[in-house]
Amino acid sequence: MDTLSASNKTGKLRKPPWLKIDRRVTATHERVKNVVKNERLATVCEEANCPNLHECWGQHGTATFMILGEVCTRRCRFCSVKTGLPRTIDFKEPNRVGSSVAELGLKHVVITMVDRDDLPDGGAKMVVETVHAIRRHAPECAVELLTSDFMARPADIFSIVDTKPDIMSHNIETVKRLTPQIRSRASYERSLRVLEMSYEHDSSVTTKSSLMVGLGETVEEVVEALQDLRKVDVSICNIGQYLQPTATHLPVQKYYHPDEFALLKGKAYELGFTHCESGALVRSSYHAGEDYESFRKKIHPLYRNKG
Amino acid sequence: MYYTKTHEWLKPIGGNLARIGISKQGIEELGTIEFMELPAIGTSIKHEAPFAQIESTKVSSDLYAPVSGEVTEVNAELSSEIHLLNSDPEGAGWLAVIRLDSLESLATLMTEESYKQYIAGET
Repeated sequence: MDTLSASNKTGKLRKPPWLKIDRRVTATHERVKNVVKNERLATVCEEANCPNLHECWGQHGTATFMILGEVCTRRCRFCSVKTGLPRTIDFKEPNRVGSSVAELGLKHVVITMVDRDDLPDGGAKMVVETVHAIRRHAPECAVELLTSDFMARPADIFSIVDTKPDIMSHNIETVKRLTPQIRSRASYERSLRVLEMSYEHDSSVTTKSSLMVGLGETVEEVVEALQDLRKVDVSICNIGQYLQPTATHLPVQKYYHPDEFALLKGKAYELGFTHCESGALVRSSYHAGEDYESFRKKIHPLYRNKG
Repeated sequence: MYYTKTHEWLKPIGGNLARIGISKQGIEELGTIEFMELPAIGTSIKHEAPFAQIESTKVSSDLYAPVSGEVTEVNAELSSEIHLLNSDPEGAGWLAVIRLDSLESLATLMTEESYKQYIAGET
């Protein structure tokens, strides 16, 4: 008898071979999971059903923590994080994040957040507290923040930049034309403005932004987005394949070939980005620690002299 | 019912036969299933080695054999009703029946209770 193939016959695109993941579980994976569960932390790895979870937790022993709860006040059509009215703030969360970073022995941590449009400061104070807690518990650890737009309120953005994160990241997510269809209560211009405000407030804090491809944009539009990011002095960009979290989310329009990701990466370097990761499974925080190390080698005089 | 860390389940159904499938937790992590490929009847499968391919809206991945044995039956209904994997993964969405090489291999699997603890991060 032949192998039995089953399909929902809806004419969906089959997955290209480079989107196959290894779901085997290592001891390191279990260690990360136990810390996350015991400390009642949320991770975007789990909440967004990230395809890299097994690699990041299992091979690199790291997770991307999502603070301020697991319910987001926005409903972006690419994202599987729950939407709704969030619960109250957990004031002890920053400390648990800090101690977990120390317990996992991380050298680089990415902290992201749900949008908290319900709070007057959008959750900025809790972001600040979290950075302080990580510095207390794990002073050697590099901190990368991936934040919401705080509706471009200067006070909130400046308070976060003033903690001097190693990387201040905010994602434009997609090209200009598709932004209204794909993101919720966010605008392309405001996102650029947030990155610009951060850089103008303290240019020593590196800014970063990421976007997804495969949502129906043209390569020219992606290049335009990269140019717009360079205009506001963003120096790191990540480009990855959009993957549909569930059947109710936006369908994938196109799977980019690894060669196309390589071309976009080349384009990013041409435009002057200091670092760019571009690939099907690249996400904002994918290999963030390794990338930051490579970025520092490119810009740091001591590293540079060592060649 | 027994479980694996990669979220396959196994249910003994008499003699050395067992039905296998993907757990609710596994399906939740994979998302909406769009495509799958099951082994042919008579195929030998090997403990922890890939035995089937699955594609969700998000990614494709292997399923890993919970035990070693031989496939004696596959759930033919899935070829037209793949949505059963999402709606009833531990029931009507079963994948195959396996003749176990050895009943002792069940000892390598997690019981329902230990699987619950494993998911909750209490291992």
